[in-house]
Amino acid sequence: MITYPLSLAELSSLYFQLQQNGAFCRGENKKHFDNLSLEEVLAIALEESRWDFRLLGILIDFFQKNFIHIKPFLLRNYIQKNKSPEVIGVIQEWVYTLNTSPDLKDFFTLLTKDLKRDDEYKLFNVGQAFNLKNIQKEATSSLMQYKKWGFLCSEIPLLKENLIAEKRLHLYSKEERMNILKELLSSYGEISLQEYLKAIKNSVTRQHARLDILSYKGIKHKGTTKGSIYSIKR
Amino acid sequence: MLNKKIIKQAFLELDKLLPEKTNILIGGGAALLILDIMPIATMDIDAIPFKSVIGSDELKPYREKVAKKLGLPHDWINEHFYQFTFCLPEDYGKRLKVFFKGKKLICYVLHPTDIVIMKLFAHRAKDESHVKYLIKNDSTDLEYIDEHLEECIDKNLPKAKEAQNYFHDLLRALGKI
Repeated sequence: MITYPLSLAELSSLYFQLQQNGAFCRGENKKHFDNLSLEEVLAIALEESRWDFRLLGILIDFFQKNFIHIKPFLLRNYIQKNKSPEVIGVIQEWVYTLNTSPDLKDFFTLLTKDLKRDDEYKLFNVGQAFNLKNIQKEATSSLMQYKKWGFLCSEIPLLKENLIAEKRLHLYSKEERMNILKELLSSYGEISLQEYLKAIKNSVTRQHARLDILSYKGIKHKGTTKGSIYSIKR
Repeated sequence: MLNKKIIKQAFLELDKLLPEKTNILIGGGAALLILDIMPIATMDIDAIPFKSVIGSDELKPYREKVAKKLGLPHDWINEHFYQFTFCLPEDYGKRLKVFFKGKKLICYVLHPTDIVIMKLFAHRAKDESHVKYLIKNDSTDLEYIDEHLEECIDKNLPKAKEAQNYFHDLLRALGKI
């Protein structure tokens, strides 16, 4: 019986097994998870990723590049025994931000079709120290890739090499962006375009961000250059 | 099945093993059992380490040693409770009650008001009878819950509006409004 979070020795072995299969990580063989199939190793890694956020980025990268070597029905079978089978859905959403090949879509459809997700939202990261302020920030600025599968998290999990691909990530819906804007305006009274872009993790262009702000009810702005300041009419 | 006596014994064993001061926050069904509000049958304790150097990783080996010694399930402390804590009010700490105080370990229990809030957000059918029972309990502050839910809606906390609707439905069903 595997219990989570894994011990350091178990985690090291898990990283080792993933590395052996071509994942972008390094581990040491501490004799755990020997003789397991790739699909069993992945199912363990998916569950552990809620305790080890770095692992989520490694898995997204791995699935994107190596899905062809994974047996989807076998993996699905193992995942369904996990406490959080929906993690594969989160992986799917992030992989889609990097690669949308039809084969990849077919692969994930086999894995996530009819996958049950809870109706309630829960924090994705469970291994962090309990800090209510941080937790509520996670919850209110959660990214859509997590929310779609019932999780709350505001961190982009992609590995640096995946982020370098000059691609703007679609992280928030318009409604979610407007909620973040509302929160910013009520906390600071006034904001710059740069501050808004930072809060939404540069997920839209400057022009798009400006239109978001201008569409906010009752907004007024000072200045017409880069340094324009936006506030609510009182 | 756990009862109050076994829970106390488990924490006593844990206290003997811990290398440094640790605080644990207890919620869910175990909290109701501990607070003598409801005689709930539970297999695990919804709890997390908090305000301590010891986190989940560090707690695991001690948790498992206690499980082995007392014949408890290996996950008798269920830390998945953490994932639903985002809806707690910021002043939950003021209402905590100490359940166990050992040499190293202090276990705090959430107040019924805060447990109701968490259960309203979770909105599970199996919890409904518990929530109704808690709403009828004198120690639950219904006005505070209503205000907090309003605040959560303002903050755009996910499912806050649904939690408020659910709360009002329950109040109506119980003839409280």
